Amino acid sequence: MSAPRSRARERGCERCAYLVRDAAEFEAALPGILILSSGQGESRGDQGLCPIHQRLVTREMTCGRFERRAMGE
Amino acid sequence: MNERSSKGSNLLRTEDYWAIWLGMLVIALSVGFFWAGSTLKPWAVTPGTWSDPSQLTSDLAEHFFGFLSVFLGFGLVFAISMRIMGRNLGEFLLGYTILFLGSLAILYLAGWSEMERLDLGAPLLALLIGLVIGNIKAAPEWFKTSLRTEYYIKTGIVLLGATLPLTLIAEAGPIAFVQATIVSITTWLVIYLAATRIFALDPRFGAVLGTGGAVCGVSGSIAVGGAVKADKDHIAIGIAVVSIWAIAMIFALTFLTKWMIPAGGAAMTEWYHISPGEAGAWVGTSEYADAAGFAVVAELASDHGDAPIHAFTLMKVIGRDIWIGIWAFVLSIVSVTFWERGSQTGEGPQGRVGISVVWERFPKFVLGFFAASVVMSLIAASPPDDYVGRAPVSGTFKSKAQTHEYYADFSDFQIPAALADRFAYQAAEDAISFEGKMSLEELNALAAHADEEQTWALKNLHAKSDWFESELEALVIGPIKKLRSWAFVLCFLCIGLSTRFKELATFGLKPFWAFTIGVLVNVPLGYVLTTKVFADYWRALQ
Repeated sequence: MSAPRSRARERGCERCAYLVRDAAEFEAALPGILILSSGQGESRGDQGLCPIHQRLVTREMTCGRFERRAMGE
Repeated sequence: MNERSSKGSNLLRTEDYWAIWLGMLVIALSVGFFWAGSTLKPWAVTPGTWSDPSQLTSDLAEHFFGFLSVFLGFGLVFAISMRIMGRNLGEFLLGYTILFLGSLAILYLAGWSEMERLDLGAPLLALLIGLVIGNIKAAPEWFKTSLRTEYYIKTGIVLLGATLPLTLIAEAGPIAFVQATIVSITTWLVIYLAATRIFALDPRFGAVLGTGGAVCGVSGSIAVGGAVKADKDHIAIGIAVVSIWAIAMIFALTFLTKWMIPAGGAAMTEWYHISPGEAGAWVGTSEYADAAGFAVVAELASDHGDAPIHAFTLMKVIGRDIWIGIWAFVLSIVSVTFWERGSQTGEGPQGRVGISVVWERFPKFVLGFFAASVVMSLIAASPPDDYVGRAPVSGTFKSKAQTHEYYADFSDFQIPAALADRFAYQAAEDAISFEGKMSLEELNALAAHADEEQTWALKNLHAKSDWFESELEALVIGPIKKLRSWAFVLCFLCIGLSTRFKELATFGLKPFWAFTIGVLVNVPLGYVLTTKVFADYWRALQ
């Protein structure tokens, strides 16, 4: 992995404290999702909700508001 | 990003994989019992038909332990998996118990002669009853833990793999792929262009709506939503619009296809007639979610066999669903290259998904579906060399078309010389037997020397000589189909109970109309492709 990509991953949404990752919280944030889908399927994959920007994001994405998640969180 | 990827393998952390484990466990048990000289039949039961309450109570008493085993067997795996996926076990178990009892009641209701007269099957009843209850009173939060529409339908689809021969997938799969690709791309473009050009919606919102209509419904909207960094509210609106249209199409397509398929397997004589296979393929192109589409084809299956289910699965699951990762990857590039340039994201999230998304978004339960089909096809292709079919000289001949009781006497039956080494009459056992599978010509040769009652017995022996039909289908695949029915009814009840129209209908009309324009193109296009362009393939499908 190249250095810039590695750095980007270090500060990627995947490691951000703000991100809504938990399947139950994800489902609660998207009313109606349980009718025909769910938050614990592969099609959701590694996506989470960014409460800062109110967007659905994947682990590769980054932004200036990144806050590292505490270990074990 | 989520709990799953941060804590390691998804093999025990997503419902896709759990659907595979549960489905394969059921198949392994069914095959294992069979190889051990037994069958899962007594433990894999669904309610029978009834017309007066005494029949109902006796059926309930007869099948009580079967229902209990289905409840405990499914419940155990569902409970373990839900716990591992981080859900509240107590909430799930309580909710699952209510759902199971509700499904049992619905299956009995569907078996009532009055319901059969109304032509209402368990799938539609489960959906209707769920919708009525769900819209009168919202499900409490704890109950929502057990409303796992996707989990139940994925389990049902894996089990379905065991009933769909691999040869059928190989023969019809490419046609399904071509048809689904035409429909998917056209529908996506129409919805996207309507959303962006006519209603001036954000392109990423258009992509979310388009994918919901073109690929795999709500799951498609979510998969693409992350790839294009869609606004959360746009995802929520996409979910609402897709769900409303998917449920509306359940009723529209069910009533339409029921009217269009000739009753009782009659010939297609009217201009509007279509075959069960065509109906399934059409539903596969024009429904927006797996669970919704299965509600339609499972309802059709009660009258027309499994052809609609098979055609739908080929079209929707293989033709459309499995390409969602490619859609996400391509649209992510388009988003970064074009759409985000035109919008001021400021300090918003940057970057795009990598090529690995093609595999990451792949609906893994489909692998279980294929594995189940491979396993059962291999078993079906290896009948025992020394198989001898047996039929009683007096008994009941049952086929899809008729049931007939017969009383034959073979004591002075003249066996044709050419078949003397394969046909035998065992007086001590009051049975006749035939070594290997009896062809129609061989049946006719035997029947040429038979009276009417003997002919019925020979017909029965003809059926029994088919190892696949009389052994594998009856003792292995049959129980799997019963358990598949449970998974489906649980799913359809969940759709109804979790749908609150009042809460869904909070979006503006622009996205609704953009999607509706897509529906207006998708439905006739699906009909033409299915019944005109590729009709030969879908009519031949069983």
